[in-house]
Amino acid sequence: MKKIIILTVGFLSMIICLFSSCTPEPLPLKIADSSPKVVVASQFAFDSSSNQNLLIVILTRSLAVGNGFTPIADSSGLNIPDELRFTNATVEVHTSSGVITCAEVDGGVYVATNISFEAGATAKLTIKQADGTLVADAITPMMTSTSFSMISLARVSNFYEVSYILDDNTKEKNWYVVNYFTGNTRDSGSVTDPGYIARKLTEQKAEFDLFTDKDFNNGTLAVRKNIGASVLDTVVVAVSSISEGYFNFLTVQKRYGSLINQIRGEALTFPTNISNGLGYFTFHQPKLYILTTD
Amino acid sequence: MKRLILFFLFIISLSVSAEITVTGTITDATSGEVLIGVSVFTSSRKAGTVSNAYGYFSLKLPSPDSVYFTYLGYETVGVFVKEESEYTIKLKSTIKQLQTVEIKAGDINKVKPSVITLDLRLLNELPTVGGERDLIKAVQLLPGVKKGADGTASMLVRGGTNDQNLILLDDAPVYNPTHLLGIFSLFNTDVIKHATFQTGGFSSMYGGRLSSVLDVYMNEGNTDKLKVRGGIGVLASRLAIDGPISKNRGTFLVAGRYSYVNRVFEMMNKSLPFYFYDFNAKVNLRLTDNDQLLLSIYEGDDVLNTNDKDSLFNVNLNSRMGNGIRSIRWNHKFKNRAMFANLTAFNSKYRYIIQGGFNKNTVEVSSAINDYGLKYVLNHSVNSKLFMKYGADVIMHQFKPNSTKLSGEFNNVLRNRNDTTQYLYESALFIHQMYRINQRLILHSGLRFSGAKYYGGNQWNIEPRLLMVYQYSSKATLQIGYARMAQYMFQLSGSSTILPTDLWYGVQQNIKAPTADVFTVSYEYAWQHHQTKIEGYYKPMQNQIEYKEGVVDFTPADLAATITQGKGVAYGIELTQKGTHQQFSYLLGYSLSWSYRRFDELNNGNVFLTRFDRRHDLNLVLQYEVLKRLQISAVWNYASGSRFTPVIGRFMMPSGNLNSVDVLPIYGGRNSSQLAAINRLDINMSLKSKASNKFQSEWQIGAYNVFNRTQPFRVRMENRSNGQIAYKQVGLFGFIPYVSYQFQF
Repeated sequence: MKKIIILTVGFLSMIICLFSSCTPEPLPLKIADSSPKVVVASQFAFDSSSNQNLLIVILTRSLAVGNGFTPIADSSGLNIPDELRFTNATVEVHTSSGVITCAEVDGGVYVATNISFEAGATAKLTIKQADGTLVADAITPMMTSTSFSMISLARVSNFYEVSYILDDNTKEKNWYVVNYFTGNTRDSGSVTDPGYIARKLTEQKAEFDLFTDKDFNNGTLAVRKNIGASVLDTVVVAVSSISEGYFNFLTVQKRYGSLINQIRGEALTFPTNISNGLGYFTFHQPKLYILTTD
Repeated sequence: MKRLILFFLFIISLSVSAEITVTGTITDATSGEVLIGVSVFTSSRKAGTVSNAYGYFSLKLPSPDSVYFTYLGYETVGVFVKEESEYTIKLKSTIKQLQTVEIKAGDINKVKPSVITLDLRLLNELPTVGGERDLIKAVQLLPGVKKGADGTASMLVRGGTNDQNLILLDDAPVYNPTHLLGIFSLFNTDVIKHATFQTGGFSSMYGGRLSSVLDVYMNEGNTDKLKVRGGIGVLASRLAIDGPISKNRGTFLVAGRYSYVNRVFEMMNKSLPFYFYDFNAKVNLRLTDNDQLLLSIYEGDDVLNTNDKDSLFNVNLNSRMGNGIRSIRWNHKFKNRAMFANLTAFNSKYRYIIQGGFNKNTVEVSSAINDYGLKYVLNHSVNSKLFMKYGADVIMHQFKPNSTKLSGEFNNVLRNRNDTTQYLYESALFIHQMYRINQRLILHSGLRFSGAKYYGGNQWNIEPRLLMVYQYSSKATLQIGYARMAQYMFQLSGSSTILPTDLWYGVQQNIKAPTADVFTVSYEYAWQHHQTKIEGYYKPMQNQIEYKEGVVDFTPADLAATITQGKGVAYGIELTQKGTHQQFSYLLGYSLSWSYRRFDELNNGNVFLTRFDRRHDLNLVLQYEVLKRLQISAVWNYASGSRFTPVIGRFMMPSGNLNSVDVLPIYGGRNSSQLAAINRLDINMSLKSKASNKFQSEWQIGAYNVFNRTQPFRVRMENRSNGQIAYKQVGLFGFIPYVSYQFQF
């Protein structure tokens, strides 16, 4: 009888144990924040209205994880909060032709006009505060422009396909970026639709492609790209010859952009040519091709 | 000249014939199970050895002498040997609980250098998660063994990674020694007879891993009668049956374990659709008086089944992962009694398959590794001063890192893949000798010549081993050791997590075999019922392997392009203090250590600390025998926090299409941030039935993490509505009480 009581109490205790466990609260963790740094992004463009070359330099500040911010919609479409814009800076571009000062056209957006492009030369960017203190600088090579030997847009089944051929100078090492710009007004799916999520994930990857000499076959690269354009869309394809350093930067940026990387990817170190800063100062000339689907 | 030669031959024959060879087998007096690692030594301290994995010993005495047999937890037996003899020694078990090393430090014959024999009775009294006895959790109490995340069964030994431990079950390698993502170990403690653990001073018999050897042997079965033992707990239950096949001809063992974690969580209105089961079997056949055949089998699986029909997407996820291990061993005693040979053939496989999907979209990912191996070891007792081991082993590794089958929308995100099966042929020749220079000094030395052949090439390494054991005084021993180790199979884990789905690969044309040089110095001192051991080590490592920065695809088709190799170094000092005083016993393990890596392609080429560089690691085990049948024990674990690479800031850059902005992370130095320390107290009380009862039972009541303190398991990043990021340290287990019931008859 005693044994039966002991066994019964024992097994009842097991059941009680099932409901007695506790889960402790998570502990906070303080991380030593990074001090703010200037972030540089640049883009070289040709303004057809004024028929001159423009260098656009966007300056922002980095922020520590403990600092919050909310991206906003603004006229530039860049959605940079005001508190992160690096304003009232003196931004100068130094070339062999002289020094050109970039004018601030919007908070943190600086533009230099009449940039003379010198293939093979270097350009130096300096950023100073209003009081003249040097904040950061960078040196980058000026890259020659390049163009497709052929490009076309064709409808294949229920999507659009861009085809292009790019020739490479096999006597030197080169790096390229091809950007695709297209609006997709047809796909207005819901975030509760897994198929819509999957399509959005793939569109994120379709923004630009990177190529090196290894991708060329006897100096020629032929690509056929599904860009999924809708019937009414215009497609803009831009090709640029870029520096190795900027190629490495875009490679890392593209890796981080994937959803899988943000969940479980390995830590990344973004390359930079900005001394005391982040981002990348690049001086390459994109060649734009505007293709229409009709 | 001819007379001179004959004279020398006569002298040599005298010296050979003067030695007395004593051999035999040592068994447990009650169960008949052979005992492994029994110290065998003469009263004059001029000769000594230990019993091997089959309970067999061979000793050459320079002259007639008393021979003693001593073993932890058993009464010492002595016999006077005056002529060549073969014995069957039966040792009686004592009922003492945690014991110090019973021997005096001066008896260096009794101590297998650098090898720690795990006290399985202590293992049975340790409090653990859910009351499930866990061999690996016991190993984690030893200094020098860092645990991964708290509650898991990973072992990071002296700066090494989790895949750098050679884990053997009846001489077959084990790839994943855990169940349920590392929470439970693969070893069913009801069937374990003997387990040793080594972190330095390796014999040349062992190779293929850099950091440690955990050598586990299953019971063979009771030679006298059928025995049944088992246990019922809150998370799992087990049953084992063993006994004789026929008198003096063989024994058998079968055991099974089944967990119902998923049902338990269902009852608690929580979801964890995970359970495991495993099965052990062993047959021991005595073919002749000199030949023995042993067959061992292990099969186990972790199963996950979830089918959320009520969810928006009708998601289902199923997985199955587990080990299958088989070994056949043939032992042969030569007629000269001085030689003993063992031939082992084994097959060890680890595989997983994960299937998931929603609506008509499915993905199936699988991976497998399958080893076939052969190993031959010849033990040779040459004379009273010299003992030799020679041998060879060869393993064919057959592995398929990844196979991915997709349907539906998954084709847009992932890609189908079916890796070809890869092969790596690993082999080694080794020789090892133990030479007694004099009464105080023993020299262990060996050489292992190892290599691996793969498609397109091969790699080779020479691995010298050296260990000097000096009896400094009657109470103290000094050991100095060196071992070079090479590893040809490795497991790739991300820098932030270790998962059982991490893949195993072999070295290739562009991937060099990781190597390590392990230098150790230790000092042991024993007095009365206490023992102190202090050990220092220094361990430089070469060709260590990590993923490159930014890697996303953890199943890369081009492995060499995804990984990078670099150097590492680990050093530290370890203290072990144990003893008994009346009814009270204790075991204290403490280590102070550093572990670094340097890779050209990581952390900007700067040196960084490893993820589990726990500067201080302290374990204290206390036991108190209240009554003969009632015992309480407590384990306190304190360890410095593990490390991780934090995001310390963010910056904005135009995205590729220049009409939106990417928010990009700024990472701090690799592993530059540290989590909170592990600080945990577990308690256990065991109440046994009377020893005289035929039906033996034992109740165990206890609690894991008594103070319900958060033991950091992972870091969670929380994105707040104002854009701030906050870090939280999340624990895995809180306060978990348990009750379990063990029985045997």
